[in-house]
Amino acid sequence: MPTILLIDDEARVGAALRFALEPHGFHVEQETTAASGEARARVAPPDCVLLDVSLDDADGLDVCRRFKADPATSGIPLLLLTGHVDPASVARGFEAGADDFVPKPFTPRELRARIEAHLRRNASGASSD
Amino acid sequence: MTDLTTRVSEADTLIHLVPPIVQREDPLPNIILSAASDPAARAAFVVDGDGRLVGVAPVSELDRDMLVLLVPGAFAGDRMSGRQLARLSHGTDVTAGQLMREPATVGLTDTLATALKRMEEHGLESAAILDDGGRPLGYVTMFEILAEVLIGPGATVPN
Repeated sequence: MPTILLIDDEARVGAALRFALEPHGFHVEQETTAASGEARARVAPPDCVLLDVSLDDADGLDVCRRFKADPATSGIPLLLLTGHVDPASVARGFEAGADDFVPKPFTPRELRARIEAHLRRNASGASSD
Repeated sequence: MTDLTTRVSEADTLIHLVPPIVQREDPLPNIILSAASDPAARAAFVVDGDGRLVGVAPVSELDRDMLVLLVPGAFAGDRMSGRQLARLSHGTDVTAGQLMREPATVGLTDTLATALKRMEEHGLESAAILDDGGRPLGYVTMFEILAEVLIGPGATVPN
């Protein structure tokens, strides 16, 4: 069962992810701070990370850069959750190393499709290594 | 295949999760920003301190609120409702709690037909989907439900 780590300070986002993903065979874990999310990902790497751009305790883009610079977490697909999808914000997110964006709000099907696409890509990349 | 008997929980291309919310005490600029962050919602959903839905501020009414504030002359005295006069007296400090009205709501086990009925009854274009605790999990819109049921999710705009 793929584990999705959500790093977001809003409980309601976790509830939305659990509704969208858990009936379809995913396990969702939520951390509400950047520090706890990064620590958790290093100790027990998830299959995919969904990271809120606007965390209370950190800039999500800085967290993204740290994830991608750390060999322990750099290979984990990281999707940025954001309410701002203007071209400049999207560019900054990709420059920070994000693998994709999930704009809020999102439909359950779109969210699953995005995550599944990255899991497939990661799996095929791992098998060809 | 989506039809009007489909339960809200199964309409996974129609549910918008993480809806735009404001707190009851938030002033008009916050309400406008929240509604603008998600144009499809056609509203900002108003929650209490525990995240439970207590009202809705529809964009159609926010338009009038902004118009009253910017161009008060657009409304002749006898055409201005008591609600609009109340807004004028608060300026942009008017809060979501003062502006909100009763929302259209559905649960996950309700059908899309029920969602349409509730929106129609309330004169709203979107209905909040509430979880068991009364918190807004997402929303559905009248337009998207009708469009999907009438022409299906695969329909595309012709070139």
